Amino acid sequence: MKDLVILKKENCWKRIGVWGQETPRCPELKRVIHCRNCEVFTQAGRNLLERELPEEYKDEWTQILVEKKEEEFPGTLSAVIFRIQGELLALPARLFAEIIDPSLVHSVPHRKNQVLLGVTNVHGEIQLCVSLQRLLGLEEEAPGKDEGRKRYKRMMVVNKDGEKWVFPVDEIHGIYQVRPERFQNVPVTVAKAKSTFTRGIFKWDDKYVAFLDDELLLYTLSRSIQ
Amino acid sequence: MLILFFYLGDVKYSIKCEKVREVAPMVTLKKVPNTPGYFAGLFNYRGMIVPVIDLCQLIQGRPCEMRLSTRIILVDYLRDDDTPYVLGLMAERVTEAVRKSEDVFVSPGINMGEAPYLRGIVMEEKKMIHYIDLDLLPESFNFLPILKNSVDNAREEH
Repeated sequence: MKDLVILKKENCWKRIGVWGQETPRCPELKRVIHCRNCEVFTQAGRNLLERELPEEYKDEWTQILVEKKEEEFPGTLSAVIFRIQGELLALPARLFAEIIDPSLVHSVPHRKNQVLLGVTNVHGEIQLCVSLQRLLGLEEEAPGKDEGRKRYKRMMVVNKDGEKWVFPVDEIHGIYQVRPERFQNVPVTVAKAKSTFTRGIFKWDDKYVAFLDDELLLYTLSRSIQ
Repeated sequence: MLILFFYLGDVKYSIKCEKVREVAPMVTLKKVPNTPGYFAGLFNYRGMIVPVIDLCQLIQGRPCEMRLSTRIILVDYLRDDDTPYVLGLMAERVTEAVRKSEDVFVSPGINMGEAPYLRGIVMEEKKMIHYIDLDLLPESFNFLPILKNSVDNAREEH
């Protein structure tokens, strides 16, 4: 009987709850305020865990639990490392909303701007698509130079104070933990635009990665778009 | 204090979190022959060989269902010679931990005989939930000396 009730109310949070637009609104909302406080929503989440245990999951965790727990150092940053042309760059992982496959960028008429590429569709929402390459003044690599390297073009969706930006990149390497002592200062002799946006550099796989200053970067971006 | 809830079949049980070291997902267990049915096996927990007790088998008489919510609760114990010892408890639907005051623990005042660890009850919204006393739990595993031997044997094998 209880199962029946839940089945009938299935997805109610997407219809009459906080993630839906349908009326009449769920009468329970007055009491619980948000669907995440509601028993039905909790139960639906729990039901997902009632699935069969996949063998691969079990094997994976068997391996993970064999390893000693890595100690987390204070000040450790998670950074997403990505590549634009020949440059390895990184941004704090907390900024990222998601990584998506490259999608079509529509240019905006009467908006001739070096940095603004246009708008793109992210899950049905229109977001600004911006070229980090041009903003940072990174040079186009000579054709043929990157032949040995695999090309996995992606788009990064970055979320800062509710504003979303989409950046096309040539490759995403993933999320890495960077210990604070591994950061080095940017050499003062580097006088490119890139260096002003770089907060520090760190070594990763024998290569140097520039950790970008997200505050300055996104501030400059919103200024240049206006 | 923090209390961990889990299920064995349809019945809800609880334990105190004080001694719980970690709640780990289900892993592949090394079966040990000639041990009671509720002894699910051994696994390598961060370099330590940890025996796992199937609480479902122990209390309900049937093995835990292999679901994503079936997890291993790792509990810290001390051996007689004060060396640390970790015991794994396998249970179903280990998904909830709540904060409760000390006075929710009540004793129904009955002698549990075979299962002394099941002595307490936790009151939650007028419902009664079994409380498993982790201190009394290992006492009822009469195979623990055997278990210690098998732990040693497993070490020698590797």
